[in-house]
Amino acid sequence: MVDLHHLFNVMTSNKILLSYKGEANKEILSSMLDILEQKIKDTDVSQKVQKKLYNILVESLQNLYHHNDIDQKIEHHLHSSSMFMLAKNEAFFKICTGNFIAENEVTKLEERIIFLNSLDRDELKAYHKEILNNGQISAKGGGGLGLIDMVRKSQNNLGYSFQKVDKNTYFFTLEVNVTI
Amino acid sequence: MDAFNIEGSAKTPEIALNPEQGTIDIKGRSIPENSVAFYNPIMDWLAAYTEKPASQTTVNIELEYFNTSSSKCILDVLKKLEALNQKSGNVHINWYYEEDDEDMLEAGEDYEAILNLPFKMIETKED
Repeated sequence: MVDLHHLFNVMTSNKILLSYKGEANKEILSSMLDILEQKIKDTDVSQKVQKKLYNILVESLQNLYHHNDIDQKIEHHLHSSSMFMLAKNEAFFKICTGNFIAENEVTKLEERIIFLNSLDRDELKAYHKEILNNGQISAKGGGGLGLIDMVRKSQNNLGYSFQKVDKNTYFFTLEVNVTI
Repeated sequence: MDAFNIEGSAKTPEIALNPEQGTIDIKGRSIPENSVAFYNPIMDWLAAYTEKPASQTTVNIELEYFNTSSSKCILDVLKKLEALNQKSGNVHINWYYEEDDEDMLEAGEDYEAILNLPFKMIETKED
């Protein structure tokens, strides 16, 4: 018998508002955004924080979607599954996304996050402007603007980890904190 | 040329392009997964409009949310209008943001810094 009460307690003690594991397709993400918008409205935080949070949620979930879309074309169909979690404590909302990435993507992604975390507010503004104005738009994503936007809007460093799954694959976790 | 209208949806903004009045209105949310597909017809309309524009063009952008892929498309729209402004000098941008929405104000200021176009930042009250 599955211990659902245990899972309930884990979710409660970690103050998880929503968590999801599975394929990040368009329909599911749209439904999740609807639910999240309602959940955010039900909290007691200011309109300003609610908007900031929703914006970052859109960006986080669409990141998963675009990544998922790319992954379908390579071998690991099992690895097209991903994770999402939104939690709230006294001080901030925590948005976590997790997905599988190829080993050869790890270094580049880590360097990018370290670089973005090292920039101050004005440097981020300038960098965002540069990428927005000069970066090439892909048919799908925003041309590398997503992570910049998350750091800028949250005004917090991005948390991250890479866990090795096998020699070609890592599980990438990204954490964005939105201060209340 | 014809007016061009798209009704707003949960993920895409309401679009109203009026060639006689020279008004370009983008209002609501712009968070589609594929922004390029959504903005392509608008870019096509603008290409035709800038060939034979009204004497004055007023652009009203009143967005509640937009994702980063839309931010690129909005820049492309504005760049088309920047080119028109360089020819005719009669393009004005009204950028609306809700009271306290510093991110939306800042987004408008980012565009203003990139483009050679007159921007007016207009604060609106929360619902």
